[in-house]
Amino acid sequence: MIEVLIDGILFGLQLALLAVGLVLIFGLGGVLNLAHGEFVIITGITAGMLSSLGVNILISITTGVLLAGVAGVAMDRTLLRPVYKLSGEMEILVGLFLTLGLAAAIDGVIAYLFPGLHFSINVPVEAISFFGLAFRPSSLIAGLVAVISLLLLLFFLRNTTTGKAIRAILQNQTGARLCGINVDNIRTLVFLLGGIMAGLAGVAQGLSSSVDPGAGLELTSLALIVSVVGGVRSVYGAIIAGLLLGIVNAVVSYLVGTYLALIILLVVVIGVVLFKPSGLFARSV
Amino acid sequence: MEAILSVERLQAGYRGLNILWDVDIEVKEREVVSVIGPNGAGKTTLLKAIFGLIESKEGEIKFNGVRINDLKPHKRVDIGLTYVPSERELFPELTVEENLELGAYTKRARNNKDNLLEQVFEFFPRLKERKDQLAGTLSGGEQQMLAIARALMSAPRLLLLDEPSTGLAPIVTLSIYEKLKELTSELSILIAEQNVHQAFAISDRIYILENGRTVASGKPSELSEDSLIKSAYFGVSE
Ligand SMILES: Nc1ncnc2c1ncn2[C@@H]1O[C@H](COP(=O)(O)OP(=O)(O)OP(=O)(O)O)[C@@H](O)[C@H]1O
Ligand SMILES: [Mg+2]
Repeated sequence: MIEVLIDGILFGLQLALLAVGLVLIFGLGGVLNLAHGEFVIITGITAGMLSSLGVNILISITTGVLLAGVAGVAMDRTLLRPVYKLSGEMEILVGLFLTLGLAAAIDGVIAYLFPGLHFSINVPVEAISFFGLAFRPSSLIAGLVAVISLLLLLFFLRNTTTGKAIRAILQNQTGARLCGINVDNIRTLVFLLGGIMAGLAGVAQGLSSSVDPGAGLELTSLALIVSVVGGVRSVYGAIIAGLLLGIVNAVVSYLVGTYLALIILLVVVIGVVLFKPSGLFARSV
Repeated sequence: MEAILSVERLQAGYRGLNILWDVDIEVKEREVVSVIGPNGAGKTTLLKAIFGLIESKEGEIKFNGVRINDLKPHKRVDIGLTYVPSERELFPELTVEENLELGAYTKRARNNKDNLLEQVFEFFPRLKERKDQLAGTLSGGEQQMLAIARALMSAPRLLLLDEPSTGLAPIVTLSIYEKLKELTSELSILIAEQNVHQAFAISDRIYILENGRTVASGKPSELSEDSLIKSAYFGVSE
């Protein structure tokens, strides 16, 4: 049972890594990024390709993660440019269409180029045991990577000038402009961060199991569910909700099987949305 | 005296719809200037264009002699322009002090943040008492003070102020205006106001805007003698 919990926490951390970026991008760009899961795939494929070509595994992973960040920046600076000029419902709708289109395009290209490929990272170390429990070292590293990245993100948002500017924009974009904050540049930075965090989720997944290149949209919907439960503008909410749903998912899967688990998970989500439509956490950071 | 702001033949508006037509306005160093006019005249539009929240289509906006039409708002803050909209646009979930710190975001102000904060707290002791309170929980008058104080944290040379009396009781409005008067020893202020009485009391000069055009301007004494203008534009409210 403890192993199940640990699996759940690990999965929850990956969900959190995905959802924090989604939440930040939504808060700053007004775009619900339906291509968010593709960042995971970009990292997975890049790292998998490079390492299979004999490149050092750390370099392969870093390149993959950075590439996901670059993809985020490219999205912000090209595809989504026209969206920021719109407002209200139109902004949301056009953003949805464009990012959904992008996700479908990336999925298509990847399915064509790499049919059936899965990517995983093997750490050549024996299992470690703590207190009589056996840990796969790769899972342990995956957990550490996730926890450290999330803590760094929170520290950045709380304590740096730029982090405070991000929190300011999340609360009031016009107010931020009045303070002399360059909102466009900070939004680009947030796409970079969002891509990198999602890429790290891919690394964590590659370490603990494997990345399926066809799972982009599935990952996006998981991240969406997490952000809805956490409160779509709350970074803390995304982290807590990610952990919560990860654990619920693992425990329920263990008890009744994965298929029912997904249904139960959705019921939990519907419950939260019914009782607290703004999500568990309304505060932005 | 040098003009800190000069607006010449300015045309601006929203999405192809022009609101301002050939507006000319000048604010000199340490001057308080008011733009008054009926609802929908374009006062807010004018301030937005000066601050750069909307693009100007024709004409020139010069700050300190330099054309700034193409500068983004954050660059305008950097050179000493600041804007307090009537909506105040505070950060409701941040404390009073955090709001003020963000006001000193530009590099120029950031280096001098502690001094600025001290000055602002001295100027608005009420905000100092409430520095750890969330901005969203302040009263209307306190929020207006905070909005002005946050703008002062950028160490501005020109303060653009839209309807500072919005939603405030007359007595609160009065105290805000008293404060503004004190500020004029250090900076210039351009106010858009419907509260004609306050505008006349505080201003060195006044522009009357109607349908996006400046139809009259002058010292308050000159204008208030012109009862025609008053009755034409503001009813008999005074
Ligand atoms: N975002 C917008 N899009 C289109 N038209 C707008 C927009 N904002 C204002 N307008 C129009 O521009 C005109 C001038 O509005 P503005 O807000 O500048 O007037 P104002 O003088 O500030 O009025 P008030 O005294 O009511 O504040 C109005 O006719 C208004 O309907
Ligand atoms: Mg107005």
